[in-house]
Amino acid sequence: MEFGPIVRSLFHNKTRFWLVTLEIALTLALVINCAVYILDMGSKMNRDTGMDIENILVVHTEPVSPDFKDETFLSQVRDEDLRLLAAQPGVLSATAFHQIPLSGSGSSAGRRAEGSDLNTIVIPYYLVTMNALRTLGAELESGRDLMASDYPPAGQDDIRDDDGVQRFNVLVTRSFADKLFPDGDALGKAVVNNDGTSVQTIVGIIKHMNNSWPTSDFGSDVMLFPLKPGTAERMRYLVRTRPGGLDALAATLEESMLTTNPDRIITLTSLAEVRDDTFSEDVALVKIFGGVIVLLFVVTSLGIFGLASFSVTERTRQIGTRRALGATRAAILRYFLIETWVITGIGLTLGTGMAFGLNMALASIADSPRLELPLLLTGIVVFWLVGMLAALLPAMRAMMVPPVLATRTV
Amino acid sequence: MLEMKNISKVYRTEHVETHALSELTVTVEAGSFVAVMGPSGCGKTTFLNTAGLLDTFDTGTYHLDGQDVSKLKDREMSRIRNEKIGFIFQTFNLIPDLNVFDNVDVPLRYRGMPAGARRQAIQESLDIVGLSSRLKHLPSQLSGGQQQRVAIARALAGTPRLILADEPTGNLDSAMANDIMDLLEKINETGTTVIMVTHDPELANRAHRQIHLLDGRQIDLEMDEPVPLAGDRAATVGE
Repeated sequence: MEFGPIVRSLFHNKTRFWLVTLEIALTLALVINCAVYILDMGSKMNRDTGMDIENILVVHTEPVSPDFKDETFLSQVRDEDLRLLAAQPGVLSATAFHQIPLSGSGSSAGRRAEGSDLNTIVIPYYLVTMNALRTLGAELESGRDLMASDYPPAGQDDIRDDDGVQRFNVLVTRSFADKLFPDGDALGKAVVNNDGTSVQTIVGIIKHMNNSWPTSDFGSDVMLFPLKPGTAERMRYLVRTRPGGLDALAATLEESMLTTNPDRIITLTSLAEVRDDTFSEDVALVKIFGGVIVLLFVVTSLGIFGLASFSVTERTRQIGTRRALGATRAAILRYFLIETWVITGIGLTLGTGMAFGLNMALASIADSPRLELPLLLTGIVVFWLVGMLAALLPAMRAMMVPPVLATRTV
Repeated sequence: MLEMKNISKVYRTEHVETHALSELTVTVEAGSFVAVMGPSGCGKTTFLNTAGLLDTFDTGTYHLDGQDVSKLKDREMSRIRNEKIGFIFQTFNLIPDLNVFDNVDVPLRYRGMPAGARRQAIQESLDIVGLSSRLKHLPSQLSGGQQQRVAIARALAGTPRLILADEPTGNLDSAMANDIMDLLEKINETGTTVIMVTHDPELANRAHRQIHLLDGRQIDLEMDEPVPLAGDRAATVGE
């Protein structure tokens, strides 16, 4: 092996050597951090939502009649709609929601365990009618589902005790329960807002479901509130069908609902489409980052190829001399591959430091995910292989230089 | 040491055929010092390339150190070049990015010698050429004469049986040229066969024997024509 002479020789061509080395280092740092983002986003997007999203239809209604400003009328329409939706062929369950999970839009509040001095934690919540879990396809882990008695009596929009404190029974996800009650005994416990004017008793724990921001750190924290949703501006329903029944329902539902009450605009979409729409920017970013990775690999491979080609062309006579002195073709091939190996190796060593540095910088300003060692090692191996492949053609050209070139004077 | 019979070499382009060597027959005894002379284009370098296994030939047979090298594979020719032949080039052909030590080390590495033995061989050959104090110098930091000495050290380091020198003094002034010739004579005195291509009759006269080439053939200088040879056209290479 000729490591020593090759390294010493490289350092005599400092500018060319460092340019390619830095290109490799920068490329590794950028590629690895793009890959970190892609993998992180991919894992978040592919995460189980805890819901039967392929079979859930989202029904948006926008009332155009002033009649809907009347709470009694609004409540009446909601009840009629829910009865209509539940009666449709193939429908398993229907529930009114004030916001749609996975949509990127929702409501949240601050809550802490009752009696705790800790700060409140953000908890996305949904005001829902009955059967919300069945409609979502979410699994109740312990406790019970919301019942009619958990809702305010007819004519009331709230439940308050004698001290004026709002009191409700609620469902929360295991993720949120574990945050406020790390000992795992959340069932039957209460959570309160910061000033103690709103108290919710946990009567059931949902095994898992995503809220409106599934890729966020609190994407699995949910609280379901037994308060009937709906305003004069909009009403939203989720309707769960039997597997495969969603399209058939969508084809006839608008007409059926308009028959009940024509003074509204109805929009239908599946929950899967809602999720895809929410992820569309992330998907676009993943594609862009993927493109950047490919581009960087191509540019750097061309850089290595160019350096190796130039190096062979510049040293054709020198290669002839080496052949004259006894180098076999294999030895010449090995020389140029080792040279590229050394350049790539030094570049990747520098790039490793730069990759970690960039990752820490991004983490500090944009809360990006941490770079894991296996990913870095994979990147290094792939890069090394790409580098060697890029140098292979010029090295093979060098291998074919005949020894007789040593005595050519031109 | 070297026995060529009826060696021919033709360079072909689309329209032209150039007969670089025409049925050349040459014998060089082991331990001799031979100068190869002739005008430009007479085939001196082609002869040297063929003798040094740097290039192949079209017809004829060639025995080097008793071994038929006419039809060797590339890898075997590389091994013979590395172990039996030392090359000295007109333009020195040192590797500019390597220092003196590493330049001399090049053929030894191809031989796969252990580091200690290589270091000793390099030191000894640089002692012979008087440059053992310049180990870390780059070729660009040396004079032309010193560079050629390094090239000679590189040729010597592998203790070859044959030294092939292609106009070794062509790029040097007369004083340096004399130094180099002194060195070649000193090397030859140790039993190493030296074949030197040169234009300079004065330097050629310092060789034991001379071969004169014209149009790829050996000629008799007095007749100035190809030597009429009996039978296999064996050339008499003599003083």
